[in-house]
Amino acid sequence: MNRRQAIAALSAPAILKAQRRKLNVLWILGDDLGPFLGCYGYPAVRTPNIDRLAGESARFTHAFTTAPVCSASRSAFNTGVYQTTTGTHNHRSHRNDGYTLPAGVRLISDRFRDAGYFTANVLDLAPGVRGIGKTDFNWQAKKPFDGTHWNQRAKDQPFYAQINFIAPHKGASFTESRKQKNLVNPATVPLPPFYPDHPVVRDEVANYCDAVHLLDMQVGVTLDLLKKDGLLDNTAIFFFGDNGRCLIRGKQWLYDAGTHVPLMVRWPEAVAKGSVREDLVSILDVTAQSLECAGIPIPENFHGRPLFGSKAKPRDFVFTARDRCDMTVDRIRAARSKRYKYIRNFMPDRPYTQFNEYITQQYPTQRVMKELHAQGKLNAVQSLFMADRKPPVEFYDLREDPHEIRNLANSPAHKAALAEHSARLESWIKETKDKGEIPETRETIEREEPRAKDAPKA
Amino acid sequence: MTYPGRVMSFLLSRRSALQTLAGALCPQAGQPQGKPDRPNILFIPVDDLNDWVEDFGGHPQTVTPNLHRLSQQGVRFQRAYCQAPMCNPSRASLFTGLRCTTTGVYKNDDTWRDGAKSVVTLTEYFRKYGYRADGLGKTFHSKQTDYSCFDSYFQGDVDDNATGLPDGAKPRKLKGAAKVLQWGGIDVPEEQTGDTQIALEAVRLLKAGYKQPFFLAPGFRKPHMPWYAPKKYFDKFPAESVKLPPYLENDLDDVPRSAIHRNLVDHFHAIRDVGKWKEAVAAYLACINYVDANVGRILDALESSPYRDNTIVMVWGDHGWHLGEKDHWQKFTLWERSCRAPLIVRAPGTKGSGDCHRVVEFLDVYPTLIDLCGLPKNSKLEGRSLKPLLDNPSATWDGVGITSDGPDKITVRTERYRYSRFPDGEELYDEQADPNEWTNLARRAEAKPLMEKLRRELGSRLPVNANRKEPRSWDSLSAAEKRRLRGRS
Repeated sequence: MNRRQAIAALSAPAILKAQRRKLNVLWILGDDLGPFLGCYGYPAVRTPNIDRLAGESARFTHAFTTAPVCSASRSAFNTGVYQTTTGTHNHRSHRNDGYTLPAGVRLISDRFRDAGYFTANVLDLAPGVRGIGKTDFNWQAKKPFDGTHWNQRAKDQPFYAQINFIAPHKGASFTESRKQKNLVNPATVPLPPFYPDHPVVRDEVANYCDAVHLLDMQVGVTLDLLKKDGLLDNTAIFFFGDNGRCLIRGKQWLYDAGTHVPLMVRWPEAVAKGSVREDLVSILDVTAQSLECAGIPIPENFHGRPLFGSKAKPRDFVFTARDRCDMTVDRIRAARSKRYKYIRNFMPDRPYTQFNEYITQQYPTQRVMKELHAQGKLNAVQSLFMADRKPPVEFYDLREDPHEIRNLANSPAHKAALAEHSARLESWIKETKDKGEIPETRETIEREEPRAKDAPKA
Repeated sequence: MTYPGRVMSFLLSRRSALQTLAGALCPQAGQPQGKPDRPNILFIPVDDLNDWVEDFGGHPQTVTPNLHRLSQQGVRFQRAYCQAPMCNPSRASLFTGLRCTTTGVYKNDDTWRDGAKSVVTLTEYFRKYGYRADGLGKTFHSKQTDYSCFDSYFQGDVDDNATGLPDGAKPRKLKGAAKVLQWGGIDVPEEQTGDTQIALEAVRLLKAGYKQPFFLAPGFRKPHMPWYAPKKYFDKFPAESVKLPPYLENDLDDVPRSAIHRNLVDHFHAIRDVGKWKEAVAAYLACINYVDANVGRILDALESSPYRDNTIVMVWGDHGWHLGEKDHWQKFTLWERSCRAPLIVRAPGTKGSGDCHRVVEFLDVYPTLIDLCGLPKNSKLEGRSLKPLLDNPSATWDGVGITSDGPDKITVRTERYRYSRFPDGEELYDEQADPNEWTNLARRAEAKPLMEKLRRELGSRLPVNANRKEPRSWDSLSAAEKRRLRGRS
């Protein structure tokens, strides 16, 4: 089903009915979740619960976050405005400097509250299954949610809730996931061509899949609970990831691996079960659609647009941005169409592997790749990420090259396409007033990220 | 662990009376306990000792009569290379017989046991075959010493002779350049200084005698910083007459940026710019002379013991040390100065003596000692026995020396060349024409085929470890976990 058909399939009476009944809105988030799911055709994982959800939802095959890292991405989709517009684009910034959102930009939970909704960042769901209450906003928000469970709401009050699961984020969920039965066999995980086939690499990818299994179990428990609470028919459920997979050349980068996320919308009375949408979608559209579900007017300054109904408008591009991650300063922007990806590296002299403490400590694959690179054992594709500089421009034909390993920036045949993407990115930067153009001072960085002082120089 | 050595050692370290009982309980009880004809081993690691040792040509004014005496009777490996230019990974590699590239143990903070979980270490292997292993001073990287690898352990004054330091200085607390500016003669009875305590304890053990073959490992902590030693050693090296090491202005202009350890350049400049370069060189020489005297104490005790003719003596430095060469201070680099360290072996029954110019690695120590003592081969080891070179130091040999500084920086040394690879570039030195490594040939067109050959050579020597587990950061471990890993749970 293409987008126009899908949009048309949503009947006006359904929307009216939804507004009458005050639909609940629930976001279920996997942390660092790329589409490593059975329903997205990834072979090494078994995700029966999420697949079941997909069977009851519209599943989006081309959904992208606006940033490849948690706090920047969350700062955007929790407001409906690009993080680069609100000045919340640097990862883990403005935590102690009194920074507030620009005028007219508000938390989506505040908008729901104003419309009479009970808002919750859900914690305990069942024994051993809980959200972590993550917000991770790059500003200081005062009491963003009313409670920690939808069952704390008043009688007949509609709710807007988020369940922020930690899996498959690195750390606790990686460790915890290895205590499950039936672990993923590292020998069976498919490796992208930019990874060397090495036991440590396979183990890390398999561990990620194990952590996805953990998430799947938790999603299953959540769906059962919603059913038990009689909420499945009257709740629009959005299931998605806050950014792509936490594996090297994924999270923190603007390749699809860093920004491509699963997105499913379960809304029984309005969305055809098991439908598949292949059009380009930004996660900001989830924010817009969520307001739409509640009949809350979508503000003028919103960068998201509804996914369904008459106000839905197809996108020909999605835009993604990478800025400072912890102590690691960089600025990268990308314009992605259905067919091509244009990446502009504003700091080409900084290598992909410039020091980042989180990556250094949590991504054994990078360590192994550096090692094999030093030993001359990486092939040309695997060596790309080890380069001591980045090309100023990267351009990929995603149809021919889904792993983004053949840079066409200098290809005469792609000159026109590249120019179009470049121009679109340029106007996006201008129109959305990309604040990444103003570099942070050294003092700011060191205040926000004291570890930057001791970090090895690039 | 497949044998109960850890448990035993716990008992043994407390109750020497239990030694014989424990011996009888060993799983190899079927074998004769420590065949009396097996050679003993006197194994002497010296911390941060570069080639400023007589007969190794590092510094013309160094005074090491005892090491000279030993090396006259044995083989001096003039091209012995550590596997990492810093304590923990270098020592871990020697004790496990595995390369850093196999274990993933590259840095001082890497938990070496993580990278070598089921590995039987050097002393554990000897204990398995009836040897008694006594550890003293610094054997493993101090923080990560696994006491269960030994029957007993004697630390000595671990506080680097802190007693009697000028102004009550606490050298361990200092950081950065201030740390490297610590040296001087101290007015403390020599028997109270750490390394002499270690030497005297080794002498005591030799005099007390052994009922079984022994692996005696007194590890000296000098000439590691801070450079404090009894004053009489400093008096022998007046700073004004000291010769400085070779130094070239702009030496670092032709090397990749990541080959340079900026903080170590700063350390050197901090010393040079306050006019203390010569004083520092004299201090290092004094500390080497002090360690040499302590080696002498043990050698003397060995000579007058019944073990004189049946004991292998091995002295080794864990890596080299810069004193201004290539604009650096300390170790950690992948140049000759850091990678090369002295290795002296005197093994009864071998036929060779004098200098050996073949390239060998400290990785070879483990298989060499096994071979010399006639123990069964350990198929897991990645080094090779140097016995053929101990019989004939100029025998044909195709060894290379591979040293890593972290996963992304690696160098390979052949008899003629050094080739290094960094994330941002390469180096190539012709060691014959340019022993100071002043001219990086990597960018010269004519060097291309040679570089390609060396690159291949490097890759072909490094197998992939299918069971590799990444080591945890030692400092991040809980106190209980550290105790467990040190065999003290």
